[in-house]
Amino acid sequence: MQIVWLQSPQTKIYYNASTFRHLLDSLARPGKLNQLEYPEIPGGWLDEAPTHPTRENATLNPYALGAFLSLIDGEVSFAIASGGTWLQQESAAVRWLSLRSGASLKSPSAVAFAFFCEGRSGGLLKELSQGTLLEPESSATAFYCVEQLSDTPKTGRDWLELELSGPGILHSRRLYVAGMERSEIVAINASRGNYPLGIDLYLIDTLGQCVGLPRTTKILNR
Amino acid sequence: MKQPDSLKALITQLTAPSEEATSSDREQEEDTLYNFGFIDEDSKREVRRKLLKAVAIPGHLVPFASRDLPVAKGWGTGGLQITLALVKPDDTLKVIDQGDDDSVNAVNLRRFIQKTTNLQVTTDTLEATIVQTRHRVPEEPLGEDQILVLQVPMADPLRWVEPSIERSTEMHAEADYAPIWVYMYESVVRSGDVDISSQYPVMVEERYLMDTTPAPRYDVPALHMSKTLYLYGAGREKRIYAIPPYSRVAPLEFEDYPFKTEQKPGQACEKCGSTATYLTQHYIEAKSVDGTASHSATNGTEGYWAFFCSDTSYCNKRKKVI
Ligand SMILES: [Zn+2]
Repeated sequence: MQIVWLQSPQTKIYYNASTFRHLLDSLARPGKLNQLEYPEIPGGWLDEAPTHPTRENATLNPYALGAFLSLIDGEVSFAIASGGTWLQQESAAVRWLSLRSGASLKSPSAVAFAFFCEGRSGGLLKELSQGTLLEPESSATAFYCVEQLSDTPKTGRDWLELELSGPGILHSRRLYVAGMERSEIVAINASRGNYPLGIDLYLIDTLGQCVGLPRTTKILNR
Repeated sequence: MKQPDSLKALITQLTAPSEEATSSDREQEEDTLYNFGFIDEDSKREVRRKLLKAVAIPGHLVPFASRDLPVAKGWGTGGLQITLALVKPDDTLKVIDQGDDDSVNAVNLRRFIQKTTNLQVTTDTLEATIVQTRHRVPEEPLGEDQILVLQVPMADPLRWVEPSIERSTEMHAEADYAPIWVYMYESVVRSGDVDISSQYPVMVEERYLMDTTPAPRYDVPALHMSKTLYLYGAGREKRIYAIPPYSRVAPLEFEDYPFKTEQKPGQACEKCGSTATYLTQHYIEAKSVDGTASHSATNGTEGYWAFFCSDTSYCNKRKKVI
């Protein structure tokens, strides 16, 4: 059944639908790990995907790129940052995303979607829109590419241990993140002190595991 | 209200070729005139983006473009657009209207979605991955792997006190809900009950006032700390809103007038005997001796009002067990 879909012209439609359900579930149940599908489609919309803008010989997380692409189109704008700097129009990653989605690059404070190529924004998160009281839904949604996510205990200095609570979580939930800086959690919490304003986030790891952290989620760095 | 002609025409159009077709399912799919899920991918994507924001801001009304569908507005276009933006080929769908799988509206919506997606459909609440509904939450508790999509005729609970949508949007922004509290208290003082009966207002996560659709008060407690994601779509008003799972949902109530449901003790379903379900009243016509229904029972039993479960699928399940 799976193979039939992959060869049919409906492939991208099914990929978008299935990816959306994972993104929806991730946001509705913050901290739950959702496994994203690999966006490999013959005829290839992920062909010639850009390499990592600031890390030599590294790929950009294809799961995160695919999920990001599934939500953007000509109706919305985006921004993408790597190594703590916003990428410009002429960068390969920007051109690739624009070409495949029809979405345009805009200044960070105006975009609906932002993509961080690593688990850090380098202070750029605060430049994104948190929405307004009349339109809190106009805030940005940001994707972070992290190394690894886990819901079972991990120790070691590479791992952050986060305690999550809020809507979508029965009591509280533990989340372990590798490849994200401690200071980023501080920045994230600073962006959500003024509910209903705030930025909604996704963390996606190199294996395609996805976690949603909507503005309502309280994050405690253990 | 009659079923709109446009819907009837579309259903006929969609139904006819597949009945005649002798080709395999695969070929049929290739012959489909419509995109999977009928609406185009850009429209789906817009609904999806708005759904994500609705989930991130529980109870907040999020404007969306609301496309025209071959279903008259007021026939569930808001819920339908949500369902079509959600579905993937391995979903199992249930559609109910006032708890009933077999009502004309539910049958038509189900057929429309099935014809444009080739989805599996069911009447069993427990088998469904997505339940689209008008006016009711199913009796059987929904689980974490299910999504409930509610069709909403009127989305803004502040319409009771504020006719201007611009002003009510400001009131939501400022959480200025004093007028609705006054309105409700006045109706309690005046008539001994809250005037708003079947679309009871609730506070979601102590921030947004939300309308519970014309669902009975009986269904309101099911929204609080539910395992399931609730998505609401108002096609005419072009609004989407949501209650994520495990969210706090509190009906407006007063210390001296607590929230109560409309169930009366002692009432039981005449088909399955249930006293713990939402019951609706139905007039049972008098039967004359020859078995035909008649309003004037001369020789047979008299006509009377009976109570039945509004959730027909659950009622049938209970009857089988008995
Ligand atoms: Zn019954």
